[in-house]
Amino acid sequence: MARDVELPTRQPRASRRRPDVPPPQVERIPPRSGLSRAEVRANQRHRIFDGLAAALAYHGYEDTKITDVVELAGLSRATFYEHFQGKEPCFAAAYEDGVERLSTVVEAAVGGGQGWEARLSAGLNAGLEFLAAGPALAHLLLVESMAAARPARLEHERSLARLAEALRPPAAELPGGEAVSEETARLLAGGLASHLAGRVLADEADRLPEDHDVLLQYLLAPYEAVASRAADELRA
Amino acid sequence: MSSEPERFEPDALTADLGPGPALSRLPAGRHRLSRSFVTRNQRMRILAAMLRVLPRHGYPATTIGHVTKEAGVSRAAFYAQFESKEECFLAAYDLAGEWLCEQVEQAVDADEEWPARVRSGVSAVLRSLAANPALAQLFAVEVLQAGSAARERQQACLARFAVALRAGRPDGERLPPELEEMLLGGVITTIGRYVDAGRTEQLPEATAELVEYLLIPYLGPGETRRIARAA
Repeated sequence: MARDVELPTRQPRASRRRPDVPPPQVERIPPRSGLSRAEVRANQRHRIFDGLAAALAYHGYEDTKITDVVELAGLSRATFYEHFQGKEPCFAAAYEDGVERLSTVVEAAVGGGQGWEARLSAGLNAGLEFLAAGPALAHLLLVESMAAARPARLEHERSLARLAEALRPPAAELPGGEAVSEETARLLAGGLASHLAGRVLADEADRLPEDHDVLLQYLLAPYEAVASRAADELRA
Repeated sequence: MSSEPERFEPDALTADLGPGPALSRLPAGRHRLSRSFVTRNQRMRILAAMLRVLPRHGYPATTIGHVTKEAGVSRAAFYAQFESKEECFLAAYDLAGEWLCEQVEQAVDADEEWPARVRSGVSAVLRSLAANPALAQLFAVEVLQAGSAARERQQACLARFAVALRAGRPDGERLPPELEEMLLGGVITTIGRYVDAGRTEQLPEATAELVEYLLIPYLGPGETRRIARAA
């Protein structure tokens, strides 16, 4: 049947390439740097994470090969396998490391705030700035975490559950009305993550800080006092 | 609302091609069927096959070989229609999205008050997906694994549901579009959570929570809870 159909030339790996994504700037350690073995290993580990993030932004999770990661990280395959057994554990470690760094930044910003709304606003701002400064990491955390193997997706769901918990005000600081249910908080966290992922996919990660106000409006919508104040402002 | 939710039958895609050879493989050798008939028949059979094999393997492990074998067409026939597995997936996703939108349109009564319309729409989506776990998997999981073009297609699908969500709102009362798409993104994440937990059939349980979450930004928490309690 239809043997005369000409097969198109296929370049599936090339078609996924994202030349607009700049390759990572990896700082190599000069020979005889005087660094301890542990310091060299920690440096290698972070280069692998950066290489993975850059490779994922080019190829997507499915098509990313260890070869791409080591090439971008400027390391040998042997070094990669000294750290990780393969793509899946490497992704899990990079994801955990990224979430850890993001949480540290957000918690530091939240720490000084007076009142729950101010803390929420400060945390949101710090998180958006962090993601905007590292589009490849933002892509790994928000997009590829959903595309990766099932354990990674479940880990991402656990992160969203923690985020949901952080989005609920303590009872003493409830801005009017009733507390939101755990389920509503999960929906808010999911919607927030989905919006951020959409921005990252559209190559607009650098513009995330501009979304601060609309995101804050979204996160505060369930609270009576805030909602009526927003309505008053709208009328004014 | 008590009627059984509709099942999505990929094979129904080829039904409108008419009786006879449309539903099966075309006769081998010389036949008098028109070129365009053959092409359309093959395209629909390939898309139906894609939708049938996806839940078996998941997008990453699905191959063009799986699809052509299921469809009973040659690889050449596949490549005459689609450049890649991804392109075929996107066309299949669009068809399924179209079907889900139709379920919502059929469930929503334009004479109802807006909050009741939202409830009908949410209920239709959740019941349709609960009755079709493979589609729930497609919308909330597979699409995230199929590359950036698929994610863009998902955003377009959310934008379409956002239009349905705001339909029937009094004029001049609009939320920023980003906020509406964010609301629907939250809904998709919740569907994904049910799918990952193996609880797709229980999706309709989430109806009340989802309706409340969708109404709050429009109506405010007080009014929303009054409506929720009255329902």
